[in-house]
Amino acid sequence: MLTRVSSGRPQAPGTAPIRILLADDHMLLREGVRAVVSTQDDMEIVGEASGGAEAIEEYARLQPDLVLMDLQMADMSGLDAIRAIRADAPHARILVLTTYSGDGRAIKALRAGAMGYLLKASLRNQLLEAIRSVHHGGKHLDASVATAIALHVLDDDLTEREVSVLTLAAWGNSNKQIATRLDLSEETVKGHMKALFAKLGASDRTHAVTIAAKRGLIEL
Amino acid sequence: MSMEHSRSIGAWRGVSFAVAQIDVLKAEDDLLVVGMLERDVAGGPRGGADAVDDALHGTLSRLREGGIFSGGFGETMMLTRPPSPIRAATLMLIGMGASLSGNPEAVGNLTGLAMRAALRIGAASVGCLLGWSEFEVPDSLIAPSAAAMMRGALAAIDAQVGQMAAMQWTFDIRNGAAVRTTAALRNALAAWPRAMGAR
Repeated sequence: MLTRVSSGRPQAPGTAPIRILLADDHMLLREGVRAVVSTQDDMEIVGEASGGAEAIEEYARLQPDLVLMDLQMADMSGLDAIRAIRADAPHARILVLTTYSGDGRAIKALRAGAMGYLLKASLRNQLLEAIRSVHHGGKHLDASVATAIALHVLDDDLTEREVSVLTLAAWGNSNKQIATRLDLSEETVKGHMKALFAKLGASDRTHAVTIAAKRGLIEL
Repeated sequence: MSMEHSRSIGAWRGVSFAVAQIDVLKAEDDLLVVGMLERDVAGGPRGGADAVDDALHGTLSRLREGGIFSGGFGETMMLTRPPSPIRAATLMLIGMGASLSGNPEAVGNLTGLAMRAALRIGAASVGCLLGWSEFEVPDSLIAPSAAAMMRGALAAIDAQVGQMAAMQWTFDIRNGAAVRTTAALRNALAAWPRAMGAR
């Protein structure tokens, strides 16, 4: 049984705790976060979701003050869930809690409306600080993520087609096979490859796949 | 914490105030507060974020240019675990809007915002480089701006419910009017109990 230890953090009379919805497909992670949050007087987990679709439903049902959102979930990505929640609730406060430090996912999440981006490797206090900051309307980033974002935030984005081409290349498809799969000419695929090499600063397709995977620009 | 010529100017409810020329590369504070405008003025000062941005190879400028942090008035962003050479545990960026010139109360409001964040995270030491004084503040508004900053901080402290842990708060005074700024900060702090009593 968990023992509730008071944080000693005073609350103004009548101030309700921060109501948090936790969306992550790993139960162990959810239990860990719940244990950390349960030690604090000024916040509480009011609901959990194990996937993106469930997160959207639970947000609508519970109307929490803040969502802690994983990005990689089986049924629907956290990114799509963020977009859906913000489409219905433009002021929803969402803090991403993820293992991905690459700039690609972080930029997409922040542009989709997430107000914070924290790594699961963060310390307990950093999570609690981030929850409070975002709840009060501020943004919150792990500085290593901010640095990665800053390196590439002004770069040209890969187009959807370029992402499709590179993802197929990552799975070992030749240009001819990619062309067939995407119903394009082989010359067009080569053109996309050339463009994305330039955008990524890559010397060949292996290099391009490595860079894009590391930065979270493609899903493998 | 590493400060050049740090001088205490008093305390209020467990928060000890000092003034210093803060070296952002040496400061080991729990929280370093820097102000950023919405855009830089060509050839002009860039506020408290200038030295930090240089140390981080332009990260702050690019975050702003990329729309991740706009610098809009009152916008905040906390950056945890900043890389070397920054030694502070957390950086707090505060948007100062297009300009703070001639608006002491705005500077005070932003200082209050920073103090509330510091109290919220339980910071034991804070360096505040809002950078207001580097901008084209009319000479007649230097002291009122400094006083507003102190009042903003004190109001945030008074709004805090319950006991507070001890905190060391240092205002940066690298502004060419350090003596007047220090005097105004000290006077506003000294006058605060009377001001509260009069309400």
